[in-house]
Amino acid sequence: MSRLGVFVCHCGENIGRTVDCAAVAAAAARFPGVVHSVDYKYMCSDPGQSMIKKAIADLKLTGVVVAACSPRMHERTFRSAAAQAGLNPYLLEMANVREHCSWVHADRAAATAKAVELVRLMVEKTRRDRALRPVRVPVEPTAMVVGGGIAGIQAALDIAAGGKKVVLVESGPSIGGHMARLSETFPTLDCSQCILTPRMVEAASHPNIRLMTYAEVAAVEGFVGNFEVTVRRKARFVDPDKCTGCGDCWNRCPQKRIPSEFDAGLGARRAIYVPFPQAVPNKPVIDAERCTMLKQGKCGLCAKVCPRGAVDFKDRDRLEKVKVGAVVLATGFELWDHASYGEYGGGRLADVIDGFAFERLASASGPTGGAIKRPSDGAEPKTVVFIQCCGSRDEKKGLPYCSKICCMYTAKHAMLYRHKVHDGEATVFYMDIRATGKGYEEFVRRAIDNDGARYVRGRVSRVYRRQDGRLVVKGADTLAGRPVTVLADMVVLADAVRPRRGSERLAQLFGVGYDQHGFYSEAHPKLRPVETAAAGVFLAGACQAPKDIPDAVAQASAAAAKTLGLFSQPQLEREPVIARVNRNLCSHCRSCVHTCPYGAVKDFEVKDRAGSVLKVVAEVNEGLCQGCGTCVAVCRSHCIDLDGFTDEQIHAQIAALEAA
Amino acid sequence: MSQAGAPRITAFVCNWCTYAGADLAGTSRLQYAPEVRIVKLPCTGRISPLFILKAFEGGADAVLVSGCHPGDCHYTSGNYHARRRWGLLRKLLDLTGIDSRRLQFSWISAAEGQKFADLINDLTAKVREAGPFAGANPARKRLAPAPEEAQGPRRES
Amino acid sequence: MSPTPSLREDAARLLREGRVKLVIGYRAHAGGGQGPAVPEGACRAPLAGGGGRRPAFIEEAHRAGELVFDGACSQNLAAYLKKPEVRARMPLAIVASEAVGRSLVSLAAESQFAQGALLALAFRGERYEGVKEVEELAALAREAAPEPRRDPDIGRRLAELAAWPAQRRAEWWSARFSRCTRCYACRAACPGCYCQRCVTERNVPQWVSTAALGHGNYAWNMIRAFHQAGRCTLCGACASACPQGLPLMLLNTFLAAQAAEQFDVEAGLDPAAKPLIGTWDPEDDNSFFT
Repeated sequence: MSRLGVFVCHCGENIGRTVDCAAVAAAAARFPGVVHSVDYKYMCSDPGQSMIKKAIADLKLTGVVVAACSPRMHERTFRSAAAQAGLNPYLLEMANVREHCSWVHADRAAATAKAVELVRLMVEKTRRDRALRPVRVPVEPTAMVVGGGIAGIQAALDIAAGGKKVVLVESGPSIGGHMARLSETFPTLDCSQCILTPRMVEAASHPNIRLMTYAEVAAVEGFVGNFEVTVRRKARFVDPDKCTGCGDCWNRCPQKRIPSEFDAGLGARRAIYVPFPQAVPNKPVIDAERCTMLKQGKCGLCAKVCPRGAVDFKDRDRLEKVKVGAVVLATGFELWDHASYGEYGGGRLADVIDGFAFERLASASGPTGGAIKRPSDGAEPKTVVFIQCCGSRDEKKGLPYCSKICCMYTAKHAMLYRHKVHDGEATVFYMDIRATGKGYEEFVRRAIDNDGARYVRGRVSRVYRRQDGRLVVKGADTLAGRPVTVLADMVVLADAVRPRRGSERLAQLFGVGYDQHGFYSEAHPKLRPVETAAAGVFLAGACQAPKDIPDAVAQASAAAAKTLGLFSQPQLEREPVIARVNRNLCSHCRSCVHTCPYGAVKDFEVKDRAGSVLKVVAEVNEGLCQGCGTCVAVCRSHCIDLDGFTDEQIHAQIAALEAA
Repeated sequence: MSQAGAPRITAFVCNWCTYAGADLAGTSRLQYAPEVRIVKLPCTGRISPLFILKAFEGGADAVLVSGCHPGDCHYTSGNYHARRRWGLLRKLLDLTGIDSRRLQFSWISAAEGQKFADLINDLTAKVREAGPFAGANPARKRLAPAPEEAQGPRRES
Repeated sequence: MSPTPSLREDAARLLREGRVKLVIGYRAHAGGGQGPAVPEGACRAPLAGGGGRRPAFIEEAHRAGELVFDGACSQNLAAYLKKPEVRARMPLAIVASEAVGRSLVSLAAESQFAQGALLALAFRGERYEGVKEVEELAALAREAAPEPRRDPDIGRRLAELAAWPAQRRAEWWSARFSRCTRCYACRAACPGCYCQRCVTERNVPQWVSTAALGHGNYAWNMIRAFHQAGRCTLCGACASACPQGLPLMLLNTFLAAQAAEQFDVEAGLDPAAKPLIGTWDPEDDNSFFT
């Protein structure tokens, strides 16, 4: 039998002015299950709370209804008071007679009658409340960061600095990401490698960080605090423990003409290689597709010259399971392929290059040693045309969104070009200039005013190669309202930024949402920008949306802060509003499995003692369930229920309205 | 309708948006008709069609279902699931005599206190105009079959 | 009656080769259209098909000669898959008219039998198509019904109802639902009504009153129809089973048309279909929300 106490608060005059609180208390005293009903001036005050606590103890109350303000205001207050008095806090409910009644109605009789009904609703619910315990999940205080670009490195360093272990997983042979490929960075023109490589070394040497390069996430099990991630460690064919990075092997490899991915195809690498000289770890891998020993069993020169015997042609991919409590996804971006733009040469003109290729030309450590030379013949281009929004803001053939970073790096490119080729002409075609960061507008102005970049507002309609090898760029100057033709030696396209290929697959593994372009979805676009719908999975960098370095780094630190916050307690405590399946009644139609926004409902095999499957039913994972109850409502036989909002409680509330 | 012709309106609202929107109507001291009774759920996704049938069975003159705007669901997609459910249920109920004057759907955010107050006033006025539902409510609880309803078997499409 | 020799041959072969333990089909019944012959130990047939056809449950190859199939075989045999004694005899084969075939595809989408646990002896019209896996059955169904089929009489009746004021619709339906005796023959006949415990049987809380009175009857008929939304293949078994002749096909057809119109969903054509209620699209109709 229920023994409920009802406590009606006047909230000074706030409730009492329109609602006859004494009458409400008197009416509530007659509700079934209510053994005690009083009203008081300020229930949330110390004496008010003491009154509740004393009644719980003296009258052995099994439930409490506080008729006062919104539960959003004081539910926590009253529930902790109940807990102090020894009552399970989830056996206390609030009837909202202030925000939903006294403040919105003027008629005292009507407001009082409504307040009585609101109390009645909560009495009916409370009678059917069950004692709930917060779901406690142990937390493994190790984080995984997926992606070893600047965002991933920053997140790993911050988490490590917070005293927690980090596993940094990178798919390539080295960390560093795209930032390692940049020559200089806007708006300060810092040398990218000079600011990045110390971070790379720090990440590699930090005692709390474990690097897993040349590795990919293969499978994910578990939930917040308790992920088990299977990492595929791709065969390197070089034992990193034996290798000293001396370079004898790659200097001797006869495969000399493999286009270097790092150098955007402008330079060459070997079949055994480190992607760039400052790579971390500075240990080579063998490209199994290009190595004649692995392909045809011939050569083996690298193994012969290796003084440490580190080369192992029998190496295979290995799977390794890692237990982590939180994950930061920092998988970054890649450039949209301008081959879809036939009018710009469709990727076939050697001297029409993308932004990364220009970065490598301008980089002191690049294939040309920092000299701007066009790819076709190595000549110094005297006229360069930069075309912005190549694939961006183009719903028809490209991508509808703004790639955000191109206005700035194009200004930088024009500037760098003019610094290196003093008599060169730089022309930039743009749609709009979006230079909204700190110091950005000034930077663009500098490119125009100090470095003489010629900015033409308008789209380029066509780029083609003339007989003499020069490129003809035909466009429109929409400010002057006339067509423009520029003869150029080289064209640089600011290709759109898109998520890395395969980002959707990774999102599916972690249960993270993504948009139609593959960018990861944050839990809330304004207030939860680094969290995802999957608890314990955070976002950093351009995998969420196009971002420049400062934004990516800031978000990485935010993701690290979220991770450290999660790790600050040994256990995670969650509201016990959890869906439960009645296995006996489940017919396994799987509607709930399809419905759950969190992938928390899974098939469960009911087995007999011998281990043979008797039937398959749905089961809710407590760690993943967020308590929305959507699965409950799609279950035709109502064999799922939601703690805290059970069918029985809601039925009783609706029935109470009828009786009233 | 209960005494003095006051319509009964049962509202099923989500905790995160519409309940908070109703709170805001309160803190803003917006006045609205007192006939609405709110049943709070975590999400509109939790609302089973049976809740609505039960409310009508108990004599509600109108039922309101309200939650977060599309895209704003606290649980990312509970409201989308709910919307699809109502897209079919409301048509079925309309076919059988519970039309849209009696069954109202709305998205009200935590910031839309004014919208909540306006909606309750509009709905109340609409229901008053439509008159008591009792006689015409096909879901209404009756204790015995009306004599004219007791008919023998008859086949029809 | 067409003897359909290859049906019998296939059924016998499947049983003989041990590929199935049971063949569910139709056989002739001399008694004509009276009460159904109930096989020993089997459940009561939910519905007697007209024209003297009875369900046949054949476990031995030599009895396959009893099988018949023709236009009179109207009972939806897929409903037998709900029965534990039938499920215990999987893998099984089932004689599948187009209606049965669509029910089977729909059940496959709802994981009601394991892959390989069920073969269909499929018919298109009265033409025998051979032994089909569920995937092939779905392909057959899509081929047979490229456009949704709706009974034009029902369409006219629905249009007529739609033109009435709500109160008249309520009265019209109340008069019909008042005849419901809550025998649940509709539920028993429907292959899709397979819940281990129907929500109407739930008593804590009791959402649907079990008394055969107006409110319980309304709630039951609404929730039965709604639970079929996007799932009902319009086989008509429920309506034929109803001893009170309630116009259940009006409700079913109405919701099937809504599912098609609003969500482009046609039940029983795709064994990998996700549930209509249980999925969503950001572009779903939002016009009825204020």
